[in-house]
Amino acid sequence: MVRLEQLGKRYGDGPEILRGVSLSLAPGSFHFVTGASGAGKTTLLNIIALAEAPSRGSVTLFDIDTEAAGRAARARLRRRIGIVFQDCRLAAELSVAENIGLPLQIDGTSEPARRAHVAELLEWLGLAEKAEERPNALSAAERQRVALARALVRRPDLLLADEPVGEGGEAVGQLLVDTFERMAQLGTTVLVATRATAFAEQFGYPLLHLDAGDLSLGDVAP
Amino acid sequence: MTIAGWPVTARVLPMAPDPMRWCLGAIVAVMAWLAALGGIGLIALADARRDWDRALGDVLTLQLPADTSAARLEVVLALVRQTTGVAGAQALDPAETARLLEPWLGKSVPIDLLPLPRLVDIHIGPPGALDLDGLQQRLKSVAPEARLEDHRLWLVKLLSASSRLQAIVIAAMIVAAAITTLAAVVTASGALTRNSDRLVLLHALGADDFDVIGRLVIPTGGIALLGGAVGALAAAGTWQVVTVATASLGLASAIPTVVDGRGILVLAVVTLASGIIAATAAALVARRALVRMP
Repeated sequence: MVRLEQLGKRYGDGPEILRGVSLSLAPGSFHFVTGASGAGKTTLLNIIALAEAPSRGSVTLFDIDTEAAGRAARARLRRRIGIVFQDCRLAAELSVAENIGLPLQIDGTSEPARRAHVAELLEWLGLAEKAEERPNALSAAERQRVALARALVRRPDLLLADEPVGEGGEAVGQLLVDTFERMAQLGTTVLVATRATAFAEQFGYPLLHLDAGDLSLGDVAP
Repeated sequence: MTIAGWPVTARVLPMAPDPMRWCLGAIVAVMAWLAALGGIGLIALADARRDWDRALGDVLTLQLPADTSAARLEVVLALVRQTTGVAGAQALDPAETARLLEPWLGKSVPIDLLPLPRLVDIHIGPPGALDLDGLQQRLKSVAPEARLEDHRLWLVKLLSASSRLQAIVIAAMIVAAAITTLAAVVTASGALTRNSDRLVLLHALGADDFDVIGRLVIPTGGIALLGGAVGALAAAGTWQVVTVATASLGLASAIPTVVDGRGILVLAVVTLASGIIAATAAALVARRALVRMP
């Protein structure tokens, strides 16, 4: 499902942010990546999400070598990934419903289907009353729930979350993990990055630890 | 499950309004005006060259003193017509001579009172058949004051000058295209910077390059197309004003000035080229930015 081999990332002439990271995640698996700020967690997630290119090594998603795949193929791969960014990255000029439906609009999903998917998620996450609001009118926890809904709306094969216990607080982090657990049970691969090791440990899933670009694999086979 | 009042729209994340877009439109309009004027001018110049070539390329003018008698004129005409390489010769009557001089002397000058020379148009046959020096020698024997004017020398100079003018006009059109490209690049780069967050988000959510590029190309190309149309129409108006102005000065025959079908084609091409150049420049800018994203 997700396979990283000898992954390295360096910005310009700076030090390597990631150093020879190798990792294999099976379909339906759930992992946390822990590490201090600057350990490389966000970079690792960005590379897996095909938002950044590695400096060396290879990334294989859904049995496709992403480097060998063309740009159009990589765009199609990104559509199979749901990601909750640390800063949510909601479009300020779109409503909550439009933000959640944005991935479906990119896919060209018909309006009735889009409306149905989005409405279902809004109801499920308790955001139905906020459908017409703009993101800046929401609380931090509500914004994070919208970001979660947007990541789920495509029912992706791979879910990534960066610092779920962020500005939304631990309650939203708990909601996100609970939701991701259900998705993992349905076969979605889940990887959650957090610096809150104690928070991650309470769920009993395998922990991967990043320290200065080196990944400790724990009980996950490389 | 539906939610009442939820406004589902077809729009996808729009780009931020671009305050520079009208600046681009204005620059493209000026450049299109310049290019369209140049294009119409090239057509007019080509027409003029053809007319000059047709009118002057196979004609010599023989000039005789004003007091040349009719008998002498007939002798001269007979000599010329018998010369190998001459297809025909015809004496211009004084009224026709006066008409030819009118653009230079004006209508108010009493041409009738002037000692106008007698002019003979000599039409040359196949190229190279006429021995010009021989004809001049024979003319001296019957009309020593006769002066033979070979318009082809002037024609060569005219064609040479018009070729240089054509080159200058084409260079100006290339500069106009280059400035349009530059303006589009600057505008698209600015739009890219202002919308970088949106583009990164769209890319992360799986938008393909075509979608991202289209967001820059469509507004940039659209405003340039509009600017091009305005500039082209302004050029057509300018050309017509020039036509009227030259006609009022009695110089209508000096500048062939009609925006005909070919002129309209030039206007259409300039308009479309404005949009295409700007859209292509914006696409290249967007493409360059996208290359930095995997």
